[in-house]
Order: sequence, then C-alpha cells, then structure tokens
Amino acid sequence: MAGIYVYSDKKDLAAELVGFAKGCGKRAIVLTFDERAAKDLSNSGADKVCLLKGDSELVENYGKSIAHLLAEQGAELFVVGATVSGRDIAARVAGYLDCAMVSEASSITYTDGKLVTERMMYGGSVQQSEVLEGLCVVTVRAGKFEAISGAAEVTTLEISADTRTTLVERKDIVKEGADLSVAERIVCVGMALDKREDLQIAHDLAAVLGAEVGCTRGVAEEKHWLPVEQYIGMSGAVVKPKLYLSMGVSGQIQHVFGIRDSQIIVAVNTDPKAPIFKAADYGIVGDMYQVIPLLTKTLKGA
Amino acid sequence: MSSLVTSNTTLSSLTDEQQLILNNVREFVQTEVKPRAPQIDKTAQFPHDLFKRCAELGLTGLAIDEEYGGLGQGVLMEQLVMEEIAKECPVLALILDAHLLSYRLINHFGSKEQKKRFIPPTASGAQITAMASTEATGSTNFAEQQPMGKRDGDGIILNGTKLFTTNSDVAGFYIVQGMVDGEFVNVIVEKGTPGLETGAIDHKLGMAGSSTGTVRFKNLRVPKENILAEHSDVQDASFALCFLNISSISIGLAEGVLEKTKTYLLNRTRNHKPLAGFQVVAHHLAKMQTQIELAKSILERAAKLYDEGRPDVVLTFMTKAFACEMAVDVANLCIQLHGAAGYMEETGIARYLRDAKCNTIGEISTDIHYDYIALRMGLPIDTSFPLFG
Amino acid sequence: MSKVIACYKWVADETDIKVNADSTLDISKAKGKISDYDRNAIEAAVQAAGALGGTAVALTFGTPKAKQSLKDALSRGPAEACYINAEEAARADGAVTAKALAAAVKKIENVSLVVCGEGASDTYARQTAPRIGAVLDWPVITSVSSVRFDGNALIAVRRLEDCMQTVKSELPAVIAVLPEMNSAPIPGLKAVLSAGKKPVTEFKAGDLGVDFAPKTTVSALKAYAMNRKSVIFSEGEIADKVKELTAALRKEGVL
Repeated sequence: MAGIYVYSDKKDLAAELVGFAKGCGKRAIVLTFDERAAKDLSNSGADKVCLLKGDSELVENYGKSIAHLLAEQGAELFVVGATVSGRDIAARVAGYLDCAMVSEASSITYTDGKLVTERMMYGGSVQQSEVLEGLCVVTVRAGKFEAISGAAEVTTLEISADTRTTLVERKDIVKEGADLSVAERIVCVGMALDKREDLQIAHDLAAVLGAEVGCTRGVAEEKHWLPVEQYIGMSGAVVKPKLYLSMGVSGQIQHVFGIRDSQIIVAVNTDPKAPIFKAADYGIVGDMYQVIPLLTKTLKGA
Repeated sequence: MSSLVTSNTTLSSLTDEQQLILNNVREFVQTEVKPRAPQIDKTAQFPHDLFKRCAELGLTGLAIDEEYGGLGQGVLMEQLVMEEIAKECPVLALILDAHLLSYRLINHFGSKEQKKRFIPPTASGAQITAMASTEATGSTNFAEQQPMGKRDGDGIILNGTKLFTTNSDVAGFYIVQGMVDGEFVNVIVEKGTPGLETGAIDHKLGMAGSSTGTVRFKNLRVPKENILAEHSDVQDASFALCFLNISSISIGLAEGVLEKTKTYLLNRTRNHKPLAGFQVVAHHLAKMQTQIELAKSILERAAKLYDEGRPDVVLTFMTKAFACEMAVDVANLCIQLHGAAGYMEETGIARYLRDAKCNTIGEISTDIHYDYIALRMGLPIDTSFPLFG
Repeated sequence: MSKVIACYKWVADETDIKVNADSTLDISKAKGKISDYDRNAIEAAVQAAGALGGTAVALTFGTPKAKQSLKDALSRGPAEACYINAEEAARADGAVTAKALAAAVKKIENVSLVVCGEGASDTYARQTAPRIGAVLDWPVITSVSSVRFDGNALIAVRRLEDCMQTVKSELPAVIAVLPEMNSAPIPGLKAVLSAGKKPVTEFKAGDLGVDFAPKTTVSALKAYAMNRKSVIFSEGEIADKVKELTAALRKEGVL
C-alpha cells in the first residue's frame, strides 16, 4: 500500500506522526513490533496498523526487512520517531534503500509534491532546508505534531530478522532526578561550579522554585557530579520548561540546542560575553556563588 | 577565542606538528588550566595536578634533547608554549621555566654521566627541579657572596641559605650555585640529603603557588658525582635563555589580561555604547596591542638567533627588560580600564598585575639588564659584572 | 592482523562561523577540526585494536582541505590513516558519505570493526554508522556506552532513553560510540611529533567506484535567529540585580 509509513518505539510519538501523515492528505501506515501499541494505535486515525512479528527481540534487527517492505509496498516516505532506536532503524533503512534521509527535522511539509524539510546544523546555530524526491526517510522528535483519532485496521505480518546481534541483558536506568523533558522548571548547573558539594546551592534554589536540577555535558560527563541523564543539550536531554535558570553555564550552542523551547531562559554568569546571555530572556552578570544564594533567599522571603 | 590583530607572522613559519602542539596546548590551557588559575592564586598551593598534566603532555621535556627523553623542540617553540600557558596562568609557566632552567644548567655544566642521570627525570617531569643561587647579600654578584661551603676531599660541604628559590619546597633536586673556596661552582643537591631544609614563603605579591622560598644547608655533603664541571667563566648564553622564557611569560600574561579587558570593555556600555568604542579607551587598547606586538617581535628575533646557534645575549637582555616592564604597564592599565571591578579579585584581572611585577625582578631585575646594556654601549658605568662580564 | 577503523570527519569549527547581515553564513574563515565526538571514536578504536590485537586505522572522507587533519588524527593513537580525497565530499549527504567510507573499508581489507562517533559536530545527523553497516551488510550497534570483546564476539552496552541494553554481535561489525565511552585525551607532544612518520593511504574519488551524487538537495542554509528578550542586569549591586530579576520573573508568571 502506497502512503507514508510511520514507526516509533514510543507509541505517543507514532500517533503524532500519523497526525502528520494524515495532515498531508496521505495514507498513513503504522509499523509496530508491540502488540499493546498496535491495539492503542488502532485508534490513531491511521489507515492501517501493521503488527510486525519476527525472531528477534531487538527492533533494530529488522532494518533490512523494513527496507524491503517499504520498497515492495511503494511507500512514499518513512517517517520515524527520533529516539535512540528509531534513529538507528531509520538510518539502516535509508542505507539499505540507498535513499535520502533527514535526521531530526524541525519542519517537514509537502510543497508542490516535493518534500521540504528543515533541520538544525552546527549545534543549532544554523538551519538547513532540503528538498527530497522519491522514497526517503525522515526522523522527527516528539511534540512536533498533534495526534488525531480514528479507527484503523490491524494486520499482522511475519518479518525476518538479522539475528547476528542478540540481546544479552536490559537494565532499566534508575533515574536519580526527575525526567527533565517534562519538568516545568529547571535549574541548570554549568562548569563554573568549583566542586561537587557546591551543587547544594542549586538544590536549595530548586527547592524554592519547585524545580529539577539539570546540568551541562561537562558536569555530567567530565566531572561526573550528576548522572548522565541530567545533562541538557544536543546529545542529552532536550527540555521545554516554563522556566530554565542557568548558573555558571557558558552557553555552548550544543547546550542551547537543548533549552531553546523553554518559555523563559535566565542566565547567571560572571562573563558578560558568555553566549548564554544571547540565548537568555533575563540575565545577571555576576558570580553565581553570590547571586544564587541571594536569589534563593529573596524567593524564600517572598 | 578571538584572535588578535596580528601575530600570525610567527605562526605561519611553524610546521604542521608545531601548529598541532600549540593547538593542543591551547586546548589544555583553556579546558584544564584556566578553571584552576584563580584557585591557585587564592590558595597559593603548588599545582601538582597541573605539573603532572604538563609532564604527561610532554611540556616538561619540550626543549630537552631527544636522547634524554625530551622532544628536542627549539627555543622559539618553547617561547610560544610559555606564552600560551601564561595567558591564563602565569605561575604555571613560571614553574615550568624554573624547571627548565635547571635542565639548562646541567646540560651546560654537567658531565655525560650527570646528564644521563639527571636530565631524563627532568624531561619526563618525574622530578620537579629548582635552581638556588640568591643569597641575602644579593644574587648577581657572586664575588660578594659569602662562601656557601668548602672543599672536603673530593666533595663539598655546604653551609648557608639560598633565598627566593622557585619550586623550593617541591623539587626533587636543586642546582645550587655559589662560591666555594673562592671559586664559582654549580652542584646538584638531591632531596633527602642529610642537612637539607626547604621552605616556601606563604605570602608574596604575586605568582602565588610557585613554592618560592628558602633552601638551607647544614653541613650538607655534596659527593663528587654531584659537582658539575667547574667553569670560572659563567657568562653563558644558555643560562640567559631563562630571560627569554620570562619574557614569554610576560607577553602571554599581557595578552591574557588585554583580551579579558577588551571583552569587558566591548560589553560594558555607557549611553548604550560600548566603552571600547570611546576613542580614549580604544586608543589605550590599541597602544597596548602595539606594545605586545613589539615585545613579540623582539622575542621572536632573539629566540630565532638561539635556534640558529648564534645567540645574542644583549638582545636577550633587552627583550626581558622590555617585555617584563611592558606587561606591568599593560596589567596596570587594564585594571584602570576596569574601574572598581578591576580592583576586585573576583573579576580575575588584579592577579595579572601582581603576577607581572614578579618578572621585572625575578631572574635578575630590569635595572641589572640596563646596567649590562649600558656597559655594552660603552658607557662608563660604574659596575663590576662577574656574572656576565 | 585485523584492522579496527575509526571514521572521523574534518569539520569547520562552529565557533569561527560568521553570520552575515542577511543571515547567510560565512564559513570561509573557519578553522578545521576533528569533529568533537569523533575524537572519542578514534580513542575507542585505538583501545579496541589493543583488545583485539589488531591495528587502529583512522579513516576520513573529505575535500583536499581535510589532508591537514591526518597528523592530528594520527597523533591520537592510530597506527595508520586512510584518506578519501574527493571534492565531492563538500556536497556529500549521509548516503554518499556512508558509501564512500564503506568502499574504503572494503579496500582496506581484513577489517574486524568500524568505529564511528555518534554524530558529527556540523550535521549531527547520526546516520553514518547504521548506513555503513547497511552498505556492507554488517551488524551495527549504535549509542554504545562501553564495549568488550570475547573471541570473535563483541559485547556492547547501549544507552537508550530508559535502559542500558547489553547486546552481543559477531565481528566484523560497525559501532557508533557515545562521548561517555572514553575521555579522548589531548594527545601528548611526543605523539604529535611522531604522527608524521605513520603511513597514510590516499584514495581518490575515482578509485572507489562509488556514486557521489547526493540524494538530498540543500535549498537554503541560514543562521538560526535566536529571538529572546536578552534583558541583562550587569550594573550595580548584586542585591539590586536579584531584585530586578525576581520582579521580572514574577511578571512573566513563571515563578
């Protein structure tokens, strides 16, 4: 069946992508490996939900078969939720099809029958527009499109897996902090922090604000002062809180990429030239060791 | 990092490898040294961690011959590295300078065996080294110094105190210079030798963390193997090299403080106009940039002469006198341009002035350099100059 | 002896990119650098080569300008380098890049592992490793946090959003590593000085039999306009700045 094929290991994201496909006036065919997701997505407004079954528990192992399926069915577009595993499958499918692929498109539309996409480059400082023709692959992050509803037929399809890679073990990540991607307020700590114990001043402010504590990549990956899940940026968490307040964050573009959808961005930094101030709504030029405790005190008193 | 207006004339003549080395040093300075610099200044603790990193990267052996485990890089390269480090942390560059100075003395005065024994640990940074020469009576005129010891068989018994020795409390061995039985000698004193006492001064104006202090000897016996070959003529171009290192530190320091000041003045506004756009301020910045460029030019010339094997000691003295005074002036003016903020340590500008002052005195003061230059000009100046006669 | 390939990209340093008044970009003065996460890939390949008793090879696909990257890459530990020198690299998309790299991997022969960084500093498209795997039809493991070897098997720990997944695969394989994999140290000066003595193989575009026509057409490239209020309190006492900030945030209704 021709149309837009949709895949995501996150079923809400899959539903959003169906919303996109239908919004383009195309047929939407959802691929899923999860029986429960198939059931839920049967009300996503898709034209068809295809429950794929095979011999491997690793969804990435079906990349080659999905590529064959898309070619065989005359798919127009394969749009995939940009999760770790979604990105992997999408690029494998594009590789087997030797076709165009746009990763993490920030915008995707059909203009004169051609697919036009936009995406960020250079850590978010540059926007690139591309035009794609023929069967191609695009990945999209959550929250870009609205899900719709409507009944869809669910069919089951046997599909072969590449079994050279097998799952040995799966360990849930015990999140020490809250999920930053849904946090309403975030206090973000940067590399200006002298030592781990000083995180307390961030926690104190977070407590008053009702905020979660996040950090930059260096704090998590170089200093190991906060878990890796807590770092914000292009390769880490992408957040969209009402209030994002950074302390001692210089504002490398890769970090700014992760905070750009915040409603209000506040920065505290000693360096008036720090790029974070260009990305901020409000800023204080000053030492966070003086500013933050005073801010905490002021907010407490209010 | 924003680049300065010129300065690329030197860099264009570097090999790919040298350019890569400088890139790596720059990255090391920006990511590892810069965040530590204010702390070192505040706590005055010797930065063992950074010295270790310098050793791992190979900076402790930069100019040391490859046969001793060094990298065999030239004098100019050493200057460029010193300059890069001093932009963010002059004291770390000073520590390396003192370390490399000891190497130069061993390399110049030492026997093959002594070089084999003492230079490899210097190159690898396994040992930090120091040079001890200044006494209470002065440093430049050894003839006026008290004897620091006397011959004892084939060895020497040392008694006395050397002052203001950089790396005093952390060195694995010391090159000690002074008079013994009316002769100028260089000896190596190893840490742990009975009769050796060291101490660092906690409070000085600047260059905090350099562990500068006293080295005391009480009936300390130096065995024959540790006495460097005797030279009555101590005028030595290789020793004068330390003046180039000090000049590079001053130049890097000036570049560092000017860059920070420029940033500040570009962002600080009056009537919605950046202060750096006011002509009087802009001219100050432009003049300082020019002064730095002048210092770099003379330094580059002096360094190249070393690399070409025809060192010019007078030019080296001129470089040191000019570059080190220049850095004090630049740091001083930069504080002024910051206003009250410049006077506050948290702004991170004030320490540059305190550090800069060290270099117009350290490793022989500017005045002595001018004495020597005057002497070479044939001026009838009343001075005896045994060190560089 | 088997070879472990580290793929890396020579990219424009994003901090040197100038934005023109009309939002177009001037990349002409930007210095080049090894893409940030590719440093981790090179280090991972060097470590893997050690574990497998093989040789680490740095591989890049770039324009003639990328030649200057070779010594930098070699100073990070690989024993040799391969360079696909092609003007076409300037316009290459994910498809072209993967085909070029895969073709070089085939030419190099006896490759047990290909290591890529998770994404490049410029595009951050994260396509290269899976696409190379597809072109070669080799197993692929992405988002790798750590790796070990057991005979001819590779055991990798992957970081997903909510779990750490351990997977086992046979060699040869392609992996994409996360920066958390290692610390990609600054190369020592000795390594820099000896880099120039290591062997470099150069492939020309025509040597590889690859179709260099990109599959995507770039229609525009412009600076992303950051639209923020940028009210910065920089003057006066800290207490006043804090008061002004809290007042502003209260007004915004975000407290």
